[in-house]
Amino acid sequence: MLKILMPTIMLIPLTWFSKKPWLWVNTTSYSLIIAISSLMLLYHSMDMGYNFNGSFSMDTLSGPLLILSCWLLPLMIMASQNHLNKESLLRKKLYITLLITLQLSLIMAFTSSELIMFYILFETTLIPTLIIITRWGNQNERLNAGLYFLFYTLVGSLPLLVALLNLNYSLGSMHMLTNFLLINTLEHSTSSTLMWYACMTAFMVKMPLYGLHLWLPKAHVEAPIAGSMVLAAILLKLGGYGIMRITTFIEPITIQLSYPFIILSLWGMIMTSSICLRQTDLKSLIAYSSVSHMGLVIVAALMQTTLSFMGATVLMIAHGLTSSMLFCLANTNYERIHSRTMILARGLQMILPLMCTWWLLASLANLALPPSINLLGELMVIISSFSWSNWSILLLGLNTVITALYTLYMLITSQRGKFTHHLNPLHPTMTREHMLMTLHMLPLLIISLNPKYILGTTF
Amino acid sequence: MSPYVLTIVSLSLLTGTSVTLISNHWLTAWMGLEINTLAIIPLMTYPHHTRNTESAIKYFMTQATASMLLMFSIIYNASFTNQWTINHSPNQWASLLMTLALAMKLGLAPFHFWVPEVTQGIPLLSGMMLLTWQKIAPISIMYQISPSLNMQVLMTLSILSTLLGGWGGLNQTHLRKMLAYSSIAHMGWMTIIIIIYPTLTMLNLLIYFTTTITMFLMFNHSSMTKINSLSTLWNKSTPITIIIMLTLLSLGGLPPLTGFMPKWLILQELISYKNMPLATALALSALLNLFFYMRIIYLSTLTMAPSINNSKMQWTLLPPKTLTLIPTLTMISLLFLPLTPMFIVLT
Amino acid sequence: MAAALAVGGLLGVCSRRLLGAARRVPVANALRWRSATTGAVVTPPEVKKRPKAPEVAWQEDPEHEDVNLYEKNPDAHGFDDDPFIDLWNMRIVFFLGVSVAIVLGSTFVAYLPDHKMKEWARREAEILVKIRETQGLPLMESNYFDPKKIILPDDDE
Repeated sequence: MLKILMPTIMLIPLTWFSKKPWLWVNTTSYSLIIAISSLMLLYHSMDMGYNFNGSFSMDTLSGPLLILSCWLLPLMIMASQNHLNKESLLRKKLYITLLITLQLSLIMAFTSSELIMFYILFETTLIPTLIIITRWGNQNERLNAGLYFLFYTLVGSLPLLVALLNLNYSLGSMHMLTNFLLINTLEHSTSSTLMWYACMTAFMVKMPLYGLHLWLPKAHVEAPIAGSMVLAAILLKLGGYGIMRITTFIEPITIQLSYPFIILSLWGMIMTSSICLRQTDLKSLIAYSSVSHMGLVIVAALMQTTLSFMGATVLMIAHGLTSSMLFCLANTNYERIHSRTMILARGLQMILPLMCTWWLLASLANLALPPSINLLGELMVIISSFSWSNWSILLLGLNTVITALYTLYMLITSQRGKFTHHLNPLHPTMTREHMLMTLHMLPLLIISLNPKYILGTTF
Repeated sequence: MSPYVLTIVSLSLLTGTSVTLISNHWLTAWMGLEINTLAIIPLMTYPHHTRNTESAIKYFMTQATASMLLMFSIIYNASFTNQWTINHSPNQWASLLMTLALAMKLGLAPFHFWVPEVTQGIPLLSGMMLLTWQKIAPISIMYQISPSLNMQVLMTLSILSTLLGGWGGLNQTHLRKMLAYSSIAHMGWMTIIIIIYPTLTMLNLLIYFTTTITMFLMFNHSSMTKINSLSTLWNKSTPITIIIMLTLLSLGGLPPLTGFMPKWLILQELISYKNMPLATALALSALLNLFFYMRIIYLSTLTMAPSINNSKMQWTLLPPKTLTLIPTLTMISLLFLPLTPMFIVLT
Repeated sequence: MAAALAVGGLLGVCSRRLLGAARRVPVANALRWRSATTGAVVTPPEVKKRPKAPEVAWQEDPEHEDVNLYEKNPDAHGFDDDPFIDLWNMRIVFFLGVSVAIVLGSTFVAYLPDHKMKEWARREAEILVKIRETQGLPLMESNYFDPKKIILPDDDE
């Protein structure tokens, strides 16, 4: 744990002491080395978690998410290189420091084994993200988006704090590794129902559940590229991770109380996918597609079966890489066209053919085509929800169709068709951008060769 | 102000609070409060201005009323118990009146109207004294008689203060008024726990002091009184904008900053007394405060150059003032959350 | 001790004011300038009320001018303006990202021993099945321990 944490902390002095030309080189290579060394965490000799020390531990659920957040830091740094090109050196360093702080709090959040510690670090991620969104966003709507982001999350999570303190008071410990030793069965009463809601709302807002999702498209649309990437790839996963962690503490009433939430997120998936079909804004489309995919994760995490937990874990990793890649692609468009409106950037296949390949691959991964791990995750979730209720196949099937529809709509609108001539002086693509896409795409494909490492605790 | 007068005034300000802190006789405690009130008035009116005078009069009137009410309750109590010692068993009605009198002195909710008005009118450093030092004496009396305070009344006052302290600040554009409203809200947090766990009140008071003093000293550094002037702060001192942001987030109680510690511990105590609805309401009311802090943060930090800034540059008539205490205070008001176990042991 | 500290602190906070008072330089006078030779006093002119600032809507950040990196450096990789740094940044990212992370990393992960001891568990199970088949026992039964071997306390104990 310290093997990852200390190098990440030392990234901050590296950033500040780097000479101007070597700033990006240093931070990228160092963070890549951290990401490589974090691969060690995939090794689990036993079917239990590692206990690093009293308050930090890791198991097969948090390990892949941890590696994902380590992997994303170099990618974020690479993605922001053009965006920050004109900023002063000080601001570049500040920006990288914020990204590093975010990674630091994410690593600690995923490894903390005490739920209150997890809560604190869950909230800690808010501050750097808020600064990234509102300080480095482009439009002035970013201020509103920042407020939405902060207050949605806080209103959701303060009841969680109260519920956690209450649980801590009644159980005496909130340690995740020892919680099965604690005798804790909530009886069916109004107060335990309220506590269940309090525990769930924070993560439902973070995921986000349909109906609590309004902050997400705003935040995504306004955030700079690194903000969008980390938001889609990891911060949303804190919600799914939190649900899977906390449901073990509030047994056995989840089975009854999760019904409306499962139905709502099944319905919300269809709604948000349909919203995607009529989006004009590229980033907003990708954001709504994130909401739709996260609906699947909510369904899987609330169903509480071994297969659905596996599906949820796989889907979180898969979606992390896919949506981050889609945001990168949207950003390469944005940096050339200076607009997120899809209708203004048509027929890009003519000009940027190789980028079109990446668009195709990312879209295919987004609609869960084999051999991506998205397929694995979606199949697992669909199978487990089919065994939960046969009727759910109607909604899930419809959702899969609509997902395919809007992904193809996005692909065709941006890549195919006639080239619009107002885009004439369009810059060619760069090695950096192709590299970025490669580093998103290859893990997605390679993991599907041997997906057992990201199947989570129930494999 | 001549240095002699300033010395006398500051020393009697100090004496007043100390007398209240060490007395175990009601009369001396009351006397300390009076000395305290009278001593700060010259400080409040120092660079002579009509607004200062108005504030001083408002302050004097409310404090005098509160002192009178306190004296009345003391005598009432003495007439029942035949003693003037500060102890834990005042008469029920006397304790109710005492609660109200001290609430008025602290600026708790239904009696909070003077706080923003008075703070707005006086200079920044006097405002700092008013919102920090002047709270010590009333809180210490409350601490001493905490077991016999009226629980229902005090809790009502506290939750009202946290709500109104958040609500009132939403519409403000003056920094001193915003800080005054934040003080009202924090007083609510302090008094809600004073019966259950008085030492937590002290912890909260200390952390509130460091955070508020940091804020005031930074505003004093470049003589800022309105949120307009914050938007040009970055070209006077850029690091200060970042410190203002983090200190305000700490004041709003966002983890992992120090401000989360008292809130966490207070919520924990309330929950161990099975008072979940109150705890939730209290926690959510802190968001109202955070909302207007966010406004300050947006103006000062998150819309810095090179974003286009529509505020006018202001004349820098006064040179920036000293920043000696700021680094220490910033560290305390930002980074003490990991030391929470130590603070629990200390209190 | 604490009181002394508090006095010190209080005086420290007020020290500026104390010093200012001792020097007798009122703030308002600092704006006046009195010539040493002629004795003429120059005061700031009467400041007219400034016209109200025009209402300007918030604007978006200024758009950076697009620079085509290929114009300056036909081999640009999009990392930096400086061709040397650009090249090395590209090389380092390729080496660490592709050669080390993807290739060596996936090799490492592919050869990790026995994830969660699943293979070991399977081997053990197969051995157990063989043993039980040779002994003629049912492959699976509900008793983990042999009930005969468990020593139970007497009923009257």
